[in-house]
Amino acid sequence: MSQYIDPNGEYPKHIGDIQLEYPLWDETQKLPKGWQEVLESEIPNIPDGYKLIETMPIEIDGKKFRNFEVEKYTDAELLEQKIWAIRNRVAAGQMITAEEAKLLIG
Amino acid sequence: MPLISTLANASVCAYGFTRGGALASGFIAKFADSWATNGFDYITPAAVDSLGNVWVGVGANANSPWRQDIFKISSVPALTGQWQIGNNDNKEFRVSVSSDDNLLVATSYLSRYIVKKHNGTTPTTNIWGNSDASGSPLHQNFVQDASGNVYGSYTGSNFATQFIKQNSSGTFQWGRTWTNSSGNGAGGASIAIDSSGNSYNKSYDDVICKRDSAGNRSFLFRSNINAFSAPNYYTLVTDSSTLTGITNKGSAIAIWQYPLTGGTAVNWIYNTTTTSSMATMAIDSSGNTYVVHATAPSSTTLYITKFNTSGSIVWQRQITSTFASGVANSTVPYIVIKGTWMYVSYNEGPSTGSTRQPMLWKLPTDGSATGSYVLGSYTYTYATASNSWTSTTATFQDLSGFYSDSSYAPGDTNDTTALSSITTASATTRNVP
Repeated sequence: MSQYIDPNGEYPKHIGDIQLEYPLWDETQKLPKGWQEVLESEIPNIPDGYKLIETMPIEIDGKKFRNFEVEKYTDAELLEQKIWAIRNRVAAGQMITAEEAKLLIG
Repeated sequence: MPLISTLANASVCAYGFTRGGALASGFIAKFADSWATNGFDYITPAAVDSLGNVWVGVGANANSPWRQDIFKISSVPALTGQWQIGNNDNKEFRVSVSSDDNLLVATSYLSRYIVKKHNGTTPTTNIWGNSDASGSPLHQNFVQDASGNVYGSYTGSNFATQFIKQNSSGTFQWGRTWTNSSGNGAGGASIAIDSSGNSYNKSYDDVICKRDSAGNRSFLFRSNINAFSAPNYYTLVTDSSTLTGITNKGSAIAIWQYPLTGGTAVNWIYNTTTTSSMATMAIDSSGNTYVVHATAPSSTTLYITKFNTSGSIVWQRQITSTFASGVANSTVPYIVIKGTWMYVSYNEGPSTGSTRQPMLWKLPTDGSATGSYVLGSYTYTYATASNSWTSTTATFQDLSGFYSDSSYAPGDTNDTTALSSITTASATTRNVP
């Protein structure tokens, strides 16, 4: 997947963002002035209870690469996921426990 | 290709100019909540007729049972019509526009699955209506082919999937029901058809069933995405060569593409940085895929992402607002593409409570028209988003021996109750930009 940094340093930008400024540009052509391509990089292993975070690209040998880190889910995020799973079961017509119902009501 | 997509560019007439100014501008429409008592609104995907009028439905918990209303937004934009189906027993329903510009509605009432065709100019006039008196239909959905046949799918008893074909006059052609070995676990509503008359239908547990035009099953398969079970959050779309599906689980949104003739999946795409919920999608006439999703369950942001046929992101956008809790991510957002416009419908406000509001946006498919827009007392911002997406490859399982499939003889009850024309709602609208 092609991703780009725009002349203002904003990331991620994509093909369509470039084409809004340069309608005739496509991926076979040289990038317009000020735009930089960001190359793919390896995704780290994501342990259970962790999520993947992408930060600003890093530069190696003059090329930009995507930069990933893993970060532990917060307690609030884990609770949200639990509530969300209960909601899906309700939407599917499945039974939930009284304790789960309390979580839904908040 | 589903009905809405097959109507792409229909509003451009033979002389090369657009009629009624319908394609001149995008818009935002927000429906007032006056007809509901507790605000639990559920908006449907939009449908667009050849003049550019936009039709959308809202299920609202006015009392028990739920009430279902249909709205028409003209090109101005303005709310130019409201019709009530009646007091029904399920919040979910679907509206569509037929190839002859009439309104199709699939809904449920008193444990019946109902499809009706109404005159698109005066929807209080019925053209035909039919109902299937079986089960307790949930998650009903339908599509129409180029000949006017209507394929409907819904959840029946024990989450079995009921699948019915009607002809263009509303007469039932055949019905099928399918369940897994434990007698339940099916019950999906996602449905797509291809140009050869084959249909594709998803079960509750993410299994896809293909049938020929006579209803005979040809294969069953499931991807290894292992999505959580969510029968009404899943979209299936076909183009000339590919069946595309989307599902989501936790922090992932997966899009897979499967050759219509069977074989190896083309790709899937994995969203890694947002906890996603209820992703749905649409495909334009050039094969670009548009995904809409909200983050779950407390985010205030709606994301729209366009992918090209290679799976690369073309642009990412987001919608935020100053209204209440932003996007109501306990309901499903939808996207429909027609020509160079996309129609995004969702509910905004908190997941629970009395202030949920149905919203409909018409936006250019090139990702332009970003900016902040004041609507009523609130500011809505359509801007560049910065989600991180990575991609990998999917594999598929053959599940032909796991599911039973049987003929189903649907009832054929004439049901032509008229829509009631009412004026109890209001919509706040503005052009974009």
